[in-house]
Amino acid sequence: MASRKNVDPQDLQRRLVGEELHATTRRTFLGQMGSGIGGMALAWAAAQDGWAGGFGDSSASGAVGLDLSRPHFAPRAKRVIYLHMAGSPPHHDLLDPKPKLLDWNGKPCPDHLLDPENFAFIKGHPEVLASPYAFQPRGKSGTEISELLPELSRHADRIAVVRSMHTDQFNHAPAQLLLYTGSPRLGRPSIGSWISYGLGSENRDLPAYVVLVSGGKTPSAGKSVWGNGFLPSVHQGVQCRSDGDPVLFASNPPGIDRETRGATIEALAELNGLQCERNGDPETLARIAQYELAFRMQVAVPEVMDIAHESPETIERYGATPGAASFANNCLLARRMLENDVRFIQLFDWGWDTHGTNPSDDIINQLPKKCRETDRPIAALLDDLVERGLLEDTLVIWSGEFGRTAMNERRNGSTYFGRDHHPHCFSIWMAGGGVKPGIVHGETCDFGAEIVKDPVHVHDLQATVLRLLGFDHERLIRRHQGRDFRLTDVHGSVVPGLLA
Amino acid sequence: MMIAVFLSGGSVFGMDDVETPISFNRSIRPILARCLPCHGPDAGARAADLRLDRRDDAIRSRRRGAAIVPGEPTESLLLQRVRTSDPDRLMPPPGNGAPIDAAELELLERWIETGAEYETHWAWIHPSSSPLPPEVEGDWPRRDLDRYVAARHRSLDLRPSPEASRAVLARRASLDLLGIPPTLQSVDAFMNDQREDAFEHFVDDLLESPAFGERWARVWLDVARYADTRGYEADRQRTIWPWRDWVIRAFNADMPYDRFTIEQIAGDLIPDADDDSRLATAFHRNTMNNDEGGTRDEEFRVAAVIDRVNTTMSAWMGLTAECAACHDHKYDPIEQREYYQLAAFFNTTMDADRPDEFPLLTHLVAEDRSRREDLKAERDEILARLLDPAEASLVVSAASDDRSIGSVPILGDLLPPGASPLDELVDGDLPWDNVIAPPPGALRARRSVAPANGIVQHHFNDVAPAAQVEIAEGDLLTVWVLLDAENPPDQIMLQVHSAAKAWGHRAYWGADHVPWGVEGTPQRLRLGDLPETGDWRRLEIDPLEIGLEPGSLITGVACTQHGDADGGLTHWGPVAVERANATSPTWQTDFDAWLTVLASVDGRGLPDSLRGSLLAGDGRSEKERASLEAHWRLNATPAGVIVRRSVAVELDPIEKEITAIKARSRQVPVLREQAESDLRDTFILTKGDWRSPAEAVLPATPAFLHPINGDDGSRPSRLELAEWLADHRNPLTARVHVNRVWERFFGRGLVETSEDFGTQGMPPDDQAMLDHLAVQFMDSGWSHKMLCREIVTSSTYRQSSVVSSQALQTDPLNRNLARGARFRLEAEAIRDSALVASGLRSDRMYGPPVFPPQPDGVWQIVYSGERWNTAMDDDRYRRAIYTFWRRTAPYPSMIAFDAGSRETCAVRRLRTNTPLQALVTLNDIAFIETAGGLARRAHAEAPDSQRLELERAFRLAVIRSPEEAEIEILEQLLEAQTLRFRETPEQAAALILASGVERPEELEPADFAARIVVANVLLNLDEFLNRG
Repeated sequence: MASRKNVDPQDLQRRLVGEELHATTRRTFLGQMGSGIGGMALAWAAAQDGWAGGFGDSSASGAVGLDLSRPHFAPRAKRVIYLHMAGSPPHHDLLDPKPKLLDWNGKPCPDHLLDPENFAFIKGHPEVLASPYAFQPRGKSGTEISELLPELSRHADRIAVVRSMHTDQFNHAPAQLLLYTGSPRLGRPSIGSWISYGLGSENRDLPAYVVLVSGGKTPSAGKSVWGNGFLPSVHQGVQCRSDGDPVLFASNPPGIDRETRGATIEALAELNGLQCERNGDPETLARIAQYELAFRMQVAVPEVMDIAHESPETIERYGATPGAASFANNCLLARRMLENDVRFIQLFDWGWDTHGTNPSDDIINQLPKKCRETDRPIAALLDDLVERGLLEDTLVIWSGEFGRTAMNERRNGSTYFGRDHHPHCFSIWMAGGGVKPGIVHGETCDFGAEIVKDPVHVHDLQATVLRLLGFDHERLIRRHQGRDFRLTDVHGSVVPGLLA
Repeated sequence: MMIAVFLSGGSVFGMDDVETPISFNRSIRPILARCLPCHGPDAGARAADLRLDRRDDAIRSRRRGAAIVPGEPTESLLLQRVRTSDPDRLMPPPGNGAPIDAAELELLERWIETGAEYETHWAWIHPSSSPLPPEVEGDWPRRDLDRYVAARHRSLDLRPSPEASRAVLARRASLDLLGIPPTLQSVDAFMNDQREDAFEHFVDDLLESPAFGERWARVWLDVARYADTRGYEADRQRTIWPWRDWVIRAFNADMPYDRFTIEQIAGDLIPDADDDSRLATAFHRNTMNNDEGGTRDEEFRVAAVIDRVNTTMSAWMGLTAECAACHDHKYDPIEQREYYQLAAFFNTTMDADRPDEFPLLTHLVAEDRSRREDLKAERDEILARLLDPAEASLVVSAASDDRSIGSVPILGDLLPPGASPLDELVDGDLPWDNVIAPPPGALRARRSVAPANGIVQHHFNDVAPAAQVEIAEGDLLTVWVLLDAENPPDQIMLQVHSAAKAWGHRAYWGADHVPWGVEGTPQRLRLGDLPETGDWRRLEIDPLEIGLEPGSLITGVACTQHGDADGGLTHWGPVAVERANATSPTWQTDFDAWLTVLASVDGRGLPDSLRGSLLAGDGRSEKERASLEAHWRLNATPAGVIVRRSVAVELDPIEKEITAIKARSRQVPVLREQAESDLRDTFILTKGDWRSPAEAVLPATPAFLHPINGDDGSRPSRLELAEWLADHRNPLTARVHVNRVWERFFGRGLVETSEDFGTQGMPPDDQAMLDHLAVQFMDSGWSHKMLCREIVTSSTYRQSSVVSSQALQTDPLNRNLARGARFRLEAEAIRDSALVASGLRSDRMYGPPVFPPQPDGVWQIVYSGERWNTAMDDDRYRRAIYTFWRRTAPYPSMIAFDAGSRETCAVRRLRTNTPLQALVTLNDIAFIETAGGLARRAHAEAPDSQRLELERAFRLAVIRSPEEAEIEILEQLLEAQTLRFRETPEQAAALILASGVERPEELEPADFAARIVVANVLLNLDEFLNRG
């Protein structure tokens, strides 16, 4: 593990704060206390590995049948990077070629595709829209991928394309919630929170679950898609930001520098130590430790978020721009987080909702632009993971929240080409972490509208992801308000065809 | 005995030992519960047709014998199956729940041996006041509850902790009752109070503080899932804060909890409903709305109804009904059918996940309401003075010549006697417009403004029988409308209310947005396109087409329109019946006829001052008769209309102010019942899926609980459900509230699972005490304040929270209450405490939510330009309850301290302890500002020496005085930081600037900056963040 790290927080702390201040703080912290308390503090510190392991939840634990130290299966993946194209990319134009659509292009679609209950915007009898983009078989596996994704095509033999995903929801917010929390309604924990809850953190200075957003907007369902629901708040996704504080409130206020902050932490440790001697409450000890951890995070987070130290070649390969809030930067950051043992890294990229109402949301202008922004960094990320031997136990997933129609939307007679929402099938890809490489799973009809082989519901995807991480999705449970809850609600089964 | 203690969670009363029979509820029920998923109430999941939750079924003789044979453990198949070593026969099947261990086996065996008696789950049995535990020696117990605690201590050989110091006690009580620390003046007064009952006096003062309502409303807002936005993708703003203010006022006025319940569930249906009680029903409009483009409103309407059932059951009954939405409850006796019978109570309100949030209550704040009353009185006075009979008749005769004949107005220039305009109209009248020229034959029209993509209605009902128009053969119904040329609506609708079919008569023109009734039937019939805009048009309706047969009596009319994306403006003229031999209604021309009509409906609609005169009949005085006649002239005759118009200029300033007040009114979503003719049917939804309706059900309450009033074959209403919840016979409502309150004072409920009182929840630590408090609560008239006082003034509450390492080991959760509780403050109390300590807090109450500083970029909202406009005035320092709550991006510092997102009902918040919390109180600019305020305030209040100043700051933060060692640490920090800031004056200036506080003149920048750093430490002390 150590060999992978390029940032050692302890080392950083020594470098930035000075060994002396650190030593003083430690000494004061332990030395000021009565021996009984000091002993407890040491024991407490020794017993805990990782701040996100679920401690600090003062209420009775609601976990059922869960031994946090022992997963249900041997895990194939230890970490997850989830690349979410918010708004949902069109599968017809990227991963699911449908040459027969050319025969129908511009003609009214066959009646069986009419599904007014589930159209968000299409009115009347829409016309079929064939993809304007060419597909080629790629790699030894021959997986067909669109010309819009030339860089991803290089990795065709590493990825598993699933063309038979389906969902119950055809609007962004409920569909994203279903994908990430297992329920289209608000209030349930997200998949990253479940994994943090189940596995804890391997890093003492960083959160276990990090979220990076690009494209200028948060996803439709807002922060609920990385919310902790009824799990302890320590398991919520922590949004790291490229501008402003990388983690909310991580920066000292104006006029308070690192040294002064160190002095306040030290004074707090002393005062709280006295308090602890008086009240005997172990939570006070925990608080002393949390303040010290916060102090370390103040350095560790900006350090990991600062890509300026990466080589110019690396920055070039990703197409990143130090200081900007771009998807390319976020891919590079994802790799750095991974190297620092962050468990679950969630990327959201806004701008894929290609309805075709104007040039900034159509498939002729906007879609190629989004592909250009994302194709290279994703490929560079996969390259880096392979090169560092990390892909083996890192699960990478790329998806939207649903599919799009085979028909041109033409909202209010728009002359731009675009597709409406479509819940019945969509395409995603997965790589690494125990996923079978170089395969295509599932198949849709000639219109790319219905699944004809091996359907995979989002609950099945969730069950499979948990399985790869070593969990039985039916046994990763938390009791809340009198009921046992799990990510997959009461559904879902593992998809064996995706396991290597 | 050890085994029993372990299983019952340490309960000490009536412990199971060899001499006493085994308690089913405490010892056996938790074991059998593990069998219930497959052998319980859920008929759909039941295996081997065996159920173990009911004794009759469990002892029933089956093919191979009975699961339980009372008195015969060895014969009982249950014991054989849990004890076998054959994995194929073992129960529970391996992998399905924890196996039954040896101790549990022994309990089961002894239970069967002694007769295998079942007991009803404790929480379903009505609490009854058992005799108090005997008095103990000494004067420790102060309140009844202390006698329960003392008895517990005696049986466990424990001693209570000594009383906490007065400073600690004052801070504890103030934080618990008000959510803010006490003032040092009040603490000093309390410390010097020699009276025996000094603490009782201190507590009584707290109970009278307006901050009390703010603190307890906070608790209720979590339960009610209150937020200032609607949730889901668009998460648009919602104006529902007037309801939040209603809750604060209710707690401050100590509104009895039964009334509090009834108004929130059915305040629109109670006999004395008013705007406040209607506002209370916004409780259930805190459900989320999905406004995303193209969503299926019905799907999310059903989701809101389901949420209402779940929230009602959680909030009042501590029941997890939710499970039964998809299948019979696996543990508690709620069948799926019963769940949808509960849903049926909520399924007939008019709201339907519409973007305009219809129906809305026009709500005015209290000051505006009283000012408007004053203005109206002033206006009436002017009108009365002008109502010189001679002058009036002159104008009338001039004007009435061109009044059309041949028509009977249903709604002309006047509201018919007895008619009650429904509640969208603040004035209890229709929106008459004196500006627009009325259509031919009319004296005035009404002006109606529709919101964007929303409905507006102007309607009345309940016309007095003698004034009702009866439809005759050959009648034609007409209505005059003028659609604004600039801003027309996209649909208009005329609805008629008849005595026989209620609102079941609707004609519309234009688009089909208004959802009521069945399209294409007399309930909702399209008669054509919208009329041309810009001028008066007369629309005609054949009464038969909308189901008005000859003989139908018209009792009310609604003029309705739906706005397009820009809203809509429509003027409505008279609604009338055209017929050959029409005559004017006599009540418009004959005062005595009017008196008779109005008396027949007990003077409905008259001001209270005149109602008595009317009902006095022949006994009324001349003066009374004159006042009535003046009122009639002004309000019920064309003359009155004309007089009003003739003095319009004079009345202008008054009318303008009334209009301005009206403009300040807020449209608050509330519950309103559907018309009788439109009531939705409720179906059992297969697997909870709104698309899979099965059998239809009617409203009813679960069979295992007390019966509902009106359970006599008639359909019980939502009001009856509310009364059922707040009924003395309800075994849960009082217990659940007492437990919720107890949890606030001890950090943990007497039933730890405060969200679940069902068979899967934890049993109460001390049921006798819980029941005693519950009965006392009901007997006190459901007084929340008396309940709080009872607990806070007890000796149990006053104990010190200092814990020995031994006590920590033997009773880590403080079940035995041998010490006071120590736990972290809630998110809101942390912010509020810092504001109070700093002296910055604004004590302004109520009103729209506010925007204190939050980091840039937290609000990045899809499809909406809504911005967080940081408050630069006192609103920056308001209590946390007033901070704007956006569901998809809540205020970040509150989220860090475990506040929920308010998406669904939350009965209990977890308490975590994380480094992200440390970053908030260390670095959040809101906390730097409070540090600045605290530094400045301590200096101002103790300017004589640095040491006194530090002591003062310390006390302002944590109330007690510091010890020598503590002062030394602070002095060292202050000195070191002063030196540093002298070396870096730009840093000192930067910190002072960031704190937003003005530096006291007599302090150098370095001195003041260093004090801010010290204050920052004080506001991060573990002691500051906890109440102990």
